[in-house]
Amino acid sequence: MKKIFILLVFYSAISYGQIDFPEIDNWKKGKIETYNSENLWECINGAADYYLNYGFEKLEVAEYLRTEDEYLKVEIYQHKDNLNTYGIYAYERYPDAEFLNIGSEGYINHSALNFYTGNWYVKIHSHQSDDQTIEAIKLLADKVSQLQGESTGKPAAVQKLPEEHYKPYTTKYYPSNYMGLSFLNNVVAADYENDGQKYNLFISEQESPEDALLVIQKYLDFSKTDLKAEADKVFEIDDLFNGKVFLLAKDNVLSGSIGLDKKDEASAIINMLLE
Amino acid sequence: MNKLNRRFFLKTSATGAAGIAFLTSSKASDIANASLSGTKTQVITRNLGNTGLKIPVVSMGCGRVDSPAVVKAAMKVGINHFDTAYVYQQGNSEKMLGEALKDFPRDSFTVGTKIKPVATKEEFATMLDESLQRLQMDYVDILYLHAIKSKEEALNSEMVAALKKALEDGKAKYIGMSSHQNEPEVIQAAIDSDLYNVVLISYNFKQEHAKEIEEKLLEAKKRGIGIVAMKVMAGGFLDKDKTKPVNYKAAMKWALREDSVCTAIPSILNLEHLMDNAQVLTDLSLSDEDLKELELASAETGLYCNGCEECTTKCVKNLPIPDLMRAYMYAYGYGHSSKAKKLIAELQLNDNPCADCTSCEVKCVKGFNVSEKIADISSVTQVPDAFLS
Repeated sequence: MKKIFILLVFYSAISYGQIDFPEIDNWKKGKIETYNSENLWECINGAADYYLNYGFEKLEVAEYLRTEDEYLKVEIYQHKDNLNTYGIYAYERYPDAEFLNIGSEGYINHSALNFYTGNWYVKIHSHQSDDQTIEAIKLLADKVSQLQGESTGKPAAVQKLPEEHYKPYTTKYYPSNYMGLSFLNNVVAADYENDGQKYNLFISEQESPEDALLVIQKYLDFSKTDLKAEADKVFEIDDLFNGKVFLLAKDNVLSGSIGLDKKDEASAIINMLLE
Repeated sequence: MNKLNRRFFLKTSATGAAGIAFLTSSKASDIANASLSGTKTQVITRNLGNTGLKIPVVSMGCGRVDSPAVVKAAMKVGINHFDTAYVYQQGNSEKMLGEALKDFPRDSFTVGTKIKPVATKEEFATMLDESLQRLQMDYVDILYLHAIKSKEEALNSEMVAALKKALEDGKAKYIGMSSHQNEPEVIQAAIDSDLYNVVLISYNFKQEHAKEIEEKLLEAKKRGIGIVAMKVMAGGFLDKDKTKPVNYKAAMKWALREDSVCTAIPSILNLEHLMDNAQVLTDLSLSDEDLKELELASAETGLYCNGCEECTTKCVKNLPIPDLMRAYMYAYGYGHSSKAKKLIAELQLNDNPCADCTSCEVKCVKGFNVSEKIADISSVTQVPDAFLS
């Protein structure tokens, strides 16, 4: 509990500047509402837990009115870093949506446009879907994106995953409990398909090389594999629930595959992930 | 306090009149005590009262789990009954469960959800629809009225009407209620009613009134009421600093030692928890060592509050002490401080309510230092959600 109070003092000391939401023609900007981790649920109910899980720090919401009944809303969620921002964005992403060149990545689905840039996850939506509203949504998205300056691109961990055989828009970030395993945290994973074979690749950065080996050891123990974890060695794990898993640790980073059957093939790929 | 309760020395055949389901796993493994051994292994199942439902003795409590992978894995080891609630994880528990189970045939699993009593049957119906939508299901197998403490609450006419409507509309197959305290009264209310098929109760080796509960369990069995057990680990730890864990497998087997209890619903968060719990699926035998350990643990003050309410009349402020003690157990026993905070918020107690009392007349039958625990747990309300487990 003492640790919690130290965090509380630190948390209370953080001060935030307010975002200068842009103006757009024909739409009147209303008041701006601000939420923190304490009252986020008042704005988004149960979804708040997911945001908190991804390092949520602050939300600013601006409403724009065209007439009394026609509005659009801009929500800017600020998270602790770009990986967590990517994480919550990817968690909510619709892979079948129309993707746009906005921020680091973004898409529009009906009259909802979501994108992320830096540590901002931006959601713009309206209950109207006429052309003028959609145009205004896109214009606002562009202007909000510019507030953050040039896009910093995708997080480094996301960029490490290979493009070959990648199923678009399937990369996700799991802060904890990846595949239901409590010891497998801070994981970036994506889906792949090659000649009908579906598989998954992942990487996980740990605090230290020792921690990386500890993850492998815990996985070996969990799967009752009587081996000792070593660095730079590919381990084959028969996971009762997740299938065949290959795992490798180099320094403080782990890479792995799920669903690849051949050790040679898997070794080549997961070694490449750590180059 | 009867520290050397003879209940600990009673061994039974464990399975009693249990049924046995066969599980075939695709891979040989000695995990989970051979329940996944690659050959046919025996998952012990029991009838849930007269409902016709046959449920494994270990079910999955979904109050905290956030990974569909764990639910799918549970199905694989033979755990196919899932317990959730409208309020768990602000609705995300039901959503996660719906996502995890959507590709399984609907008759391959059973789900119970719980909704707390509300002012009107219409409001209740709206909440049930919301639960079903989150679960992506047309019906739940068991719809519980959540957190019932008395016969009066159990038979509240507005809620009885709401539950009957849910049955008529086919949105619930069976009706139940859950209770954290006054379990014998709540069980009796179910027996006396023409509505309730199932009661979900706190039941563990540390309850002072376990014998009274057991008498009601036998009566419930005779009358065809199904019993589901929660809080079987009695807080999980015997001390605040978590240096004395409860032997949870023994504790669960103790709660399941008679077949008047159909199933237990331990909270399962990850695959490691799942594999540990799966061991009980196939083996309910309690060793002498297990019994000895539980006996010793029962003598410790521990973190579990009976909810006997003997303390509440002594409190000059009439505080809901059992609820506050439960919040304390959530924070220190389960490591679930956000649940503790939520419970205290529901009680509309924000700051330490004992702060302005100069003396305290409350005496706990278990020896809890009640005012100290209240002061301690009240501080959780000042901590931002982001920092809570």
